[in-house]
This record gives sequence, C-alpha cells and structure tokens, in this order.
Amino acid sequence: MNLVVAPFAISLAAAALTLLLTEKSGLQKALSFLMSLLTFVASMALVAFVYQNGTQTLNVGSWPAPYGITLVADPFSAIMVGITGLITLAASLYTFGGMKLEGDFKFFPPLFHFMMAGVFGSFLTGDLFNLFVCFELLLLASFVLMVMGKEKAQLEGGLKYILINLVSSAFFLSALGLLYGKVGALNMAEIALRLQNSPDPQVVMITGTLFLISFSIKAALFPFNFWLPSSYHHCHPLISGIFAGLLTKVGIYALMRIFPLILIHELAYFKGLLLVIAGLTMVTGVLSAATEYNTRRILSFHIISQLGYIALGVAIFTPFSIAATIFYFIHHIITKTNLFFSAGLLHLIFGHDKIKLMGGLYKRSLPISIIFALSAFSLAGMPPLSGFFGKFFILKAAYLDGQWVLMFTGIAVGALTLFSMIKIWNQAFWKALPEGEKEPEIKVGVGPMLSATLLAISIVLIGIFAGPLFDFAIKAGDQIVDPAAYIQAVLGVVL
Amino acid sequence: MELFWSLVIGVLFAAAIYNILRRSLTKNLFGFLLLSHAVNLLIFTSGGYKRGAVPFIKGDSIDPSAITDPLPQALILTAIVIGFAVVAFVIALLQVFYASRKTDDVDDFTREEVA
Repeated sequence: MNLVVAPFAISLAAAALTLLLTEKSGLQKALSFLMSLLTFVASMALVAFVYQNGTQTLNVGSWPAPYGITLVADPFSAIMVGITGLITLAASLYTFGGMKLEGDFKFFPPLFHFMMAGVFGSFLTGDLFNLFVCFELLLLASFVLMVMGKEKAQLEGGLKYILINLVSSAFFLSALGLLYGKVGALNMAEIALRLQNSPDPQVVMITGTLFLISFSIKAALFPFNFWLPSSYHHCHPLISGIFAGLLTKVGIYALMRIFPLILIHELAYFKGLLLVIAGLTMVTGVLSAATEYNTRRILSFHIISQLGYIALGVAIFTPFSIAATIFYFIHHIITKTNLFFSAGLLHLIFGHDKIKLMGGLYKRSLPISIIFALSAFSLAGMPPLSGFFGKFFILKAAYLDGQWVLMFTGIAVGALTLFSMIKIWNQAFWKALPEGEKEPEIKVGVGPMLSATLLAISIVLIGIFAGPLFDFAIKAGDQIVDPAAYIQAVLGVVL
Repeated sequence: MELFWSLVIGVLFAAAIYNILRRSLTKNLFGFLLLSHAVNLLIFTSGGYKRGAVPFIKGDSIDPSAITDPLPQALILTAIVIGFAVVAFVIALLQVFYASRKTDDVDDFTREEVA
C-alpha cells in the first residue's frame, strides 16, 4: 500500500523543493504551504483508509518483511500521522504574517519539512533501526530550528537541548545493538514474536531499561525533564509551538511501541517504575509552573505535567488505558500547539513573553481571548472541551486499575493547571495594562489568527465527537496491547 | 576476543562520561565523540567476531553460522554518518556560542530568571 509512505515522501520532497527557493521568500512560503496542504491531505487519506481497511504495510523495495525496511500504518500510527498532518498545515499557515523568511529564517521551510519527515517516519516505521534514523532526522532539523536567530539565550538553551539528546541517542543505539546481538532481529513484529517464544529476562531488563531511559529523556519524563523548560521558550514562537506539540510526543510514542515488545516481559518491575515516574512528572511539572511569569515558560512546564498523564496511561497498560492515552495524544498535541500559538499571538502584540507587563487584552481583542480561553480550559480539563475527555478517560483507567493515589494526584494536578491558566488569563487579558507600559497595537497577521482558530475549532470538535474518536482509539489500543494482529499484518504469521 | 573488546568499550564509556560531566563545552564534545565510538564498538562486538569466511553467500556454499553477521556493520556505518553530521553541527554551534559569549564554561550560563 503506497499511501503509507506518502506523508513521509511528500515532506522530504517539500524540504528539497523549498531549499531551492531560499532567495525568493514569497514563492518559498507559498510552495511550503501547498506542500503542507498536500501532506495534510495525504495523512488524512491514510487515516481514512486505515480506519476502513485496518493495518496497512509497505515493504520498501519489495524486500520481504523481517529483512527489509517495512513501513506499517496500524490504527495508532494512522492517528498520530493524522494529527501531525493537521499540525503541519496549521504551522505553515502561521508563517503568513507570523514569520519573516529572511536571514536565518530563510531556511525555516526546508528544515521544518525535514523535521516533519522525521516525525512521520518515526510514526510509520516498522523496525527499530529506522526509528533511530528518523529520530536523528527530526532531531538534527530541530537542533537547527532551536538556535535559529542565534540569540544568546537561545544558544544556551539549544546547547543544553542538543547535548542531552546526544546522550539519549547513545542510549538508544546501545540498546539497539544489544537487542540485535541477542535476538537477531530489528523488525518490531519479528522481535515481538521471538521474545514471546523465549523471553530472556537478562535481555529484557537491560535493553528495556536502556530504551526506557532514552525515550524518557526525549519525552521529558521525570527526572530527565529539566532540559525542556530551559530551551523551548527561547526560540521563535512558531517553532516552539511545533516542538511543544510534537517532539516530546514522539518519545512517548516510541515508549508505547517498546512496551508490548520488550517491557511487557518484566511487567511488574517496569509498570511500578513507570507509575512512579508518571506521578512525579505530573507533580513536578505543575508545581514548577506555579512560580513562573513568562507565558512560554509556564506552558513548557505544563508540557511536562501533561506528559505525566500520558505516561500514567502507558504504565497501566490495559486496552482501556492505552485507548485513553491515544485519545490524550490527540487532545494534547492540538491543545498544546494552540496554546503556544496563542502565546505567539501575545508575543506578536506585546513583543515579549512577560505576563506581568501585559494587560487589557480582553477589552481590546475578543477573538484572541476566545482562542486562548478555549485552549487553556481544554488543557485544564473543562467540559465539554477535548481536555475533559482526555483526563476523564485516563483517570478512569487509573481508577479501574486501582491506582487511587495517582488518580487523586491527577485530579489535583488538573486543578493546579487551571490555576496556572487563570494566572495567564488574569495577567494578560483581564488586568489593566500596567502603568508606564505603552498601549500595544493589535496587529497580528492573518496567518497566525487563522491557524490558531483552526486549532481552536478542532479542540471543540474533538470534545463534541469524543465518542466516535474514542471508539477508533479503542481499536488502536487493542492492537497495541495484543500485538497478534500487528504481527500478522507485517509478517503474515497467524499466532 | 569479545572479552577484550568489552573491556575497551567499558573504558571508552567511562572516559566519555567523565568528559561529559566536565564544565568545558569543548571537553563535553570530546566526551560525545568517545561515546559514539563506544556505542559503535558495542554494536560491532554484539554482532560477534568470526574470522575467515566473508559474508558473500552463493546458494548454499557457505554455512551461515561460520560468518560474522554483516548487518551490525551496516548499522554502524549509518550511525557513523549520522554522528558525523551531528558533531559537525555541534562544532559550528560551539564556535558561534564562543564568539558571542567568549566562554565555553557551563558555569557561566545565565540563570533562568523567574519573574
């Protein structure tokens, strides 16, 4: 099925083409948008196709499955690809009026598409080594995007980000090498099959722990989360929005893939570990945000606490909790990106991120207020927005599994999230502008407004259509917990 | 043979971690170079060492268990290329960083302001 490779291939083509047009910024922007639209259509087509026909695979170059490169789009991958397509479109829309493609930023479109190719590749690949390669592709592009503009604070944040990610990649590669040495396969379905037949506890413990550390660093789980809030808020608002939505989620995605593959064979140990990590991630993230007064730094800390919920869903590892996690992915990626885009709107208006020096926006611009309020309340988990259902399903999964402490932690963290969001709301929107601050002009481009509106509408729609979406998520979750269907689709082996 | 190389890998990892934990960014970079060598050797070693036969198989002419698995070497080759690109970028970044800050000591990093 060739559609499986389409989002990845289109992104690569877009990167190559926009690289040729770095001197013609108008044309480059238009082409970048067109290619993003194409990516969006292709990824939505993939979602629709997988929804109707189940898991699709593509053996690149017709090499048979456990030996060649296999691309797999199971329902979970398809969902992730679909949201990534939406974010690609929204981000390209944002550049019209939100980013001037000059100086360093001439190279934003090609790098952006390279990064998206890496993200799509990570979601679609069927073997672990290609997961590593796609990770590196998206990381390398993100390194450059992170320091684009070359301001002092950015360089520092960028260095921290790069150095910690290099360590994480080394862990990943070591785990990969050891696993291949012992199991003799890199195809995920083949590994699952071989480990199911003879789970060697030594291999499982060592490679499992190495993978867990590597993906925890990438996903900013406690105690590896300190790089995130010291790097994400320094780059361009658009870039930090894309990072906030997608990059940490790729880490968690990989963790979810590795769980039924390897970690499941020492379930008691890894589940206990992940539950503790999840709880601490939620709490430390939200508490650190409480003392901050910089919009994007507050939001960065909230990425961490939200990742705690996702990790909680992964750790419980029942079909229901995995479905809840997948639903949380859908909600979280869109909401978080939109919050960063709204912070970008504030940045466009005030020229900085310090909420103490902002004010009076509610009176001046109702649309921006509504966009921010929708995303903020969705993040905090207010019904009927997407965040309510996301949190509800996760906490229900925790309840069904008897994780009382974590369930109440989740509720408390939700309340504290609301406190943080209200803090931004009070400072930037409700309070009068502080004395001595110049009344800002409300002049944001069409692009940022449109893309933020697009995502805000998605948040409401996800809340309204939570039922059908969750049904699809359940289908995807079943396949993660019981990989028999996945193995059959890739290898043609009936278990 | 495997034991010897395992020890070498261990020493490389130790040296890499020592360098990564130092304050100078340049030395951190050396740490990462060592780290990637250590990881590559680890993959190489986990593929096993066998001497003699080359991994070109025509029909059933060679017993597959007599040759070294060539796949780990392909993996290492990819990893080397990726590592090369990353290190090149980090060197360029360090140079820009040094030009703007005149320091490569992580203790001179600015503290994140809270307010």
